[in-house]
Amino acid sequence: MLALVASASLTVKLVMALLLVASMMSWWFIFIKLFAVKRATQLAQEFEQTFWNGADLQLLFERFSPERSGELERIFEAGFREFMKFKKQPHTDATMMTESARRAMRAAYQREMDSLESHLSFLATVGSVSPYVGLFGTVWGIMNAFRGLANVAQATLSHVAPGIAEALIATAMGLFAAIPAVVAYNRYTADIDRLANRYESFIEEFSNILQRQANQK
Amino acid sequence: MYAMATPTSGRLPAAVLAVLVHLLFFALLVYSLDWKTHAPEPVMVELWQPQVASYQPPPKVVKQVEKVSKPEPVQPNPDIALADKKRKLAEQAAQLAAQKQAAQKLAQAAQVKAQAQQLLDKKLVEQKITEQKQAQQAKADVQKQQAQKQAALRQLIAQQSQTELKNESARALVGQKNAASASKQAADMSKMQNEYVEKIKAKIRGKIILPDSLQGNPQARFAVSLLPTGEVLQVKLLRGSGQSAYDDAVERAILKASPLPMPPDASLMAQFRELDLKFAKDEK
Repeated sequence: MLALVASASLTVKLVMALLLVASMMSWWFIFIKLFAVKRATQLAQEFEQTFWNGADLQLLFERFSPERSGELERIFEAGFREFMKFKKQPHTDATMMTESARRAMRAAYQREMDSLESHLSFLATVGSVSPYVGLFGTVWGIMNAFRGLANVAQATLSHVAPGIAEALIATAMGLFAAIPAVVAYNRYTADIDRLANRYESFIEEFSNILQRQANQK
Repeated sequence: MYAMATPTSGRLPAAVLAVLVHLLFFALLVYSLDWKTHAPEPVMVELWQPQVASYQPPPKVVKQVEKVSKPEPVQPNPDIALADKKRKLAEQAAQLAAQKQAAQKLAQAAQVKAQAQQLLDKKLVEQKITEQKQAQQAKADVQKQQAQKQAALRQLIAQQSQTELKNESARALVGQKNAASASKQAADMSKMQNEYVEKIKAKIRGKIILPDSLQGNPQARFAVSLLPTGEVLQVKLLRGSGQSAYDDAVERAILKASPLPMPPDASLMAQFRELDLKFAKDEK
């Protein structure tokens, strides 16, 4: 197999190198996303559990540390920080307080979503483009194989077979890069969508709590 | 500001895992494509090709000899007709010998050609063989030497795979036998050809009824087309004797003599489909 790759023409080699890099990158991102989504889901679950078990909001806010927090915790922190800022000021409208806290949480939510969805577009690109790149390498390799065949008086399968085999490796690599990328892309978009729903419902519910607190004042 | 905290946390293990996945895939590919290592075996089979080619030529040689020796039976007769009986006999013997020699030479030349062809085929497989071919062409006059060289060549090839050794030496022997029998066959055939031409002429001569008015020693040449059974299809006067009475008499005799005696050998028979016969009145 190594000989097949080594005997390929320069174009096919370049295509193979490109596909190898794309495959490496996509697998790297796949694992990064895997860890990130897993961590986000776990932290969101933990935070929701502590939050709905009636923990003190002030305590939760003070316990917050940026290094060891999840996305949901950061959203809560942004909203509660904004709420506290208004709370310190006298003569503030309750609806304005909740609205600004909600806006802050929205902004935090957007940031978190952005970071969660980063690299997903790369996976989508690899998934859709690398089969074509591989196909290009294959077509090029087969073209060369047949051009070599033109110089042979008696054409046999053994003259074309190595060229086609080496060309087909490019398609195999393209598919190898594409299939996991597509699967991962679909899986992660679904996971992140579910997380987004979770965050949004938390924002709504937390806004309600904040509004109640603002009215109590 | 904390947004990037999450992705960075798993970056290194993710990279390691990505490399691991690729190594795994690569190992799988190398392992599953292991059949590629068996691919060189068909290349070994190519060694058979030159031997098959070397085995085929002998029939070609025979055919070429037949073709070349076709006009020969015509040559002796006119001279013989002109000569005395003693001289005629002597010349006939000499010419027969000459014919045999010529046939042998032709056979040898044809064999050399055939061998050259074989060697051209082999050249595609091995460069060594081209050198051997040149050497062979230089010393092409002695047939046995060639056969020996061929055998040596084949043995060289055979050394590459011992299992083929027996086959090849057997083939070399067959090739030698063929080469030897080809020259014998050629000689036999020219002999047989002359014999049958004489038989045909004798039969025709027996049917000739000569008119009384003939003068001197008229000679006529006829092209006779025959069916494979020996029946006369067409008689054409190639060169008249100048006395139409003699020409007509001979033509009638040829038609009467049908069916003419044909050689039993199928390959020789092909030479007898078109005959060029010469007749002289005094020739008996």
